[in-house]
Amino acid sequence: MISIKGLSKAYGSIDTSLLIVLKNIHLHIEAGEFVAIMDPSGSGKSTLLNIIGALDTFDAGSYHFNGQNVPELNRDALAELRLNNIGFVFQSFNLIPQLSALANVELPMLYTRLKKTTRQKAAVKQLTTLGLADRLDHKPGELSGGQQQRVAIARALANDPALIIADEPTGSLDTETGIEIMQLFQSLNRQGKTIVMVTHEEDIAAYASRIVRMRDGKILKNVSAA
Amino acid sequence: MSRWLSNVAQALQALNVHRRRAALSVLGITIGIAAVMAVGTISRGGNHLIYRELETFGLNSVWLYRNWNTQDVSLREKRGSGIENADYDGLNRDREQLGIRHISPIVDAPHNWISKQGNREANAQIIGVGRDYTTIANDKLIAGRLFNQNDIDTRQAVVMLAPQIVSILIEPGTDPIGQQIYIDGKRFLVVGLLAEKSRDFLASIGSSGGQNANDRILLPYTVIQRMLGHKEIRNLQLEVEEFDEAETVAQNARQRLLDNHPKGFDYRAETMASYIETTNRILNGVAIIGIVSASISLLVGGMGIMNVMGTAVLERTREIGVRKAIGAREKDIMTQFLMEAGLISAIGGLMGLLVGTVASIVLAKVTGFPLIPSPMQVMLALVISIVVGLLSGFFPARRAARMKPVKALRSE
Ligand SMILES: Nc1ncnc2c1ncn2[C@@H]1O[C@H](COP(=O)(O)OP(=O)(O)OP(=O)(O)O)[C@@H](O)[C@H]1O
Ligand SMILES: [Mg+2]
Repeated sequence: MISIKGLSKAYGSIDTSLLIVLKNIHLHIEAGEFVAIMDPSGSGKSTLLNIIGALDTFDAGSYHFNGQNVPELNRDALAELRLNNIGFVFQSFNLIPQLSALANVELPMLYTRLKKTTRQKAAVKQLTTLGLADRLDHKPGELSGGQQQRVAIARALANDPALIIADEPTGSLDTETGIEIMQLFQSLNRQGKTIVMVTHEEDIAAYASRIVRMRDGKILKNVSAA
Repeated sequence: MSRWLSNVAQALQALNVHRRRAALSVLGITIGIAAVMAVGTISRGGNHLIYRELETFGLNSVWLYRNWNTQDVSLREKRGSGIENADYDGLNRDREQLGIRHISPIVDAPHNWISKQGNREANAQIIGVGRDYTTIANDKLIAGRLFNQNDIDTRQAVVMLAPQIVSILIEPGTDPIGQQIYIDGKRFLVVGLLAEKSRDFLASIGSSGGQNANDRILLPYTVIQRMLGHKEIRNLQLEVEEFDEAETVAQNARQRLLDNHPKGFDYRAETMASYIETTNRILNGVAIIGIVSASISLLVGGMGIMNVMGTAVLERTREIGVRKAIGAREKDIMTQFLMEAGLISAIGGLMGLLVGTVASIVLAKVTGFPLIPSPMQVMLALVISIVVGLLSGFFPARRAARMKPVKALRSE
């Protein structure tokens, strides 16, 4: 599903000091995998994840998503790719504050031009599955962190994407809630979703089927978890 | 359709977060649109009123006078009106050739002539006119008959009365037609009653010269000339065939008078057409002032929207990043922010319509102008407000749409 070869990315120009954040990355992820990317220091995990999520560009190497050469896609095609194939989950939830939980989950389907009734039905179903049936009309500010993250996951699942990208999804949650979210991820993975997740915590990474360790913008080794 | 409704709902929710900030821009648009409405009301009402009033003096009217304002003192020393029956006869004979439909002499009676019936007395304007005068001056008959050629030619002692004179001279409850009144001691038969004439602020122009058309007594001009013992005409009133030709006809007729009086009199020709033009110019001036101030309010409102949207885009950079991550295309973001800008101005526009309508009603009451509703103007006001919103929302919306997703996401 994801095929990255010799990928590099740097920030800054020749005038300013050049900061190389990703160095010659090779990474292949098959459909159905649950991959955790780990790195003790802050040196490029989010950047890599954003590139995988077709949000960011890179300077050298290649990236194919389901056989499509991603750098060749124009901005609209990239948006379509994200819309239909990728669901994002962030550390800080990133729900839209003025919209209700229901409206947040409906949003991706609004962009796929689904009808109101279809959207609403699907969003209610998704939120109900995640145990938020009685929180549909709550604004994000009226929900706990764990609830917000579950709304965010419901939103990520709205257009039934094959890939879930999660950048430290448990980073803002207490241990117990974090474990709940990981159990949710595992069950999503069992249902066939491919998941790529960044985390600092070994306990959290342990839920993945494979751990990719990075240091200073390079991949150290690929380890299969239990 | 449902997508649009959802977009509108989302835009409303977003605006609601900063409703106080949006309110200022809404106010700007409201004032602008209300001003557009009020200006429209004044100029439409004013035009209508002026037209209606001028109509009562005959839109195709032309007046020919001796010009006393000449700089040549030797001309001023000449006495008399400079217009005689022979001038009238000549113009009347060549009517078709000159483009004149009707022509009537006007001969004034001295101011000290008293009109009487029994012990009732009136100080009326006593005016001698030709057969077609009532047609030219757009006088309507409400009872009796108009003068005929025989009345003029054989100097019949007949009169037509305007409403105020009827109420002064004629005993209430009796039919004025067929009654007798006395003018300067001579007996006259009332044959016709004239309808009430509008005399609002425009009554000061034209042949009535600032006088009230409703206190006239009309006589055959030949009768007054006989009583005064001369053959002079104070002025001539014409009705031209074509409104557009009024000025030409007036000048040609004036030239005739100049030619007929080689000894030297000067003449003045006034047309209703030129009065209308003048009043229209004044009204247009008023409208332009109004439109300029309306445009300024709209501009201020538009700049307010641009500012509000610019700030919103900055504040919501993160939200834009999130939407892009979720899969929003550039046009989705564009639509979203344009929708918000358009909504601000549409709300302003609707409120402006409301305020403008109330203002129009009040203005119409205060000025006495007729209130003429204009669906076209309502449409125009709404279109203007939405266009202002879209124009001023365009650049902020485009900035939002073109943001790099990662940059937007990382902002805080
Ligand atoms: N737009 C940018 N311009 C310049 N430098 C940047 C930019 N974005 C990120 N960086 C730098 O690139 C490096 C990698 O950033 P990134 O966010 O990918 O790291 P990370 O591994 O996700 O860190 P963390 O664990 O703290 O989330 C950091 O040193 C960061 O300062
Ligand atoms: Mg990071």
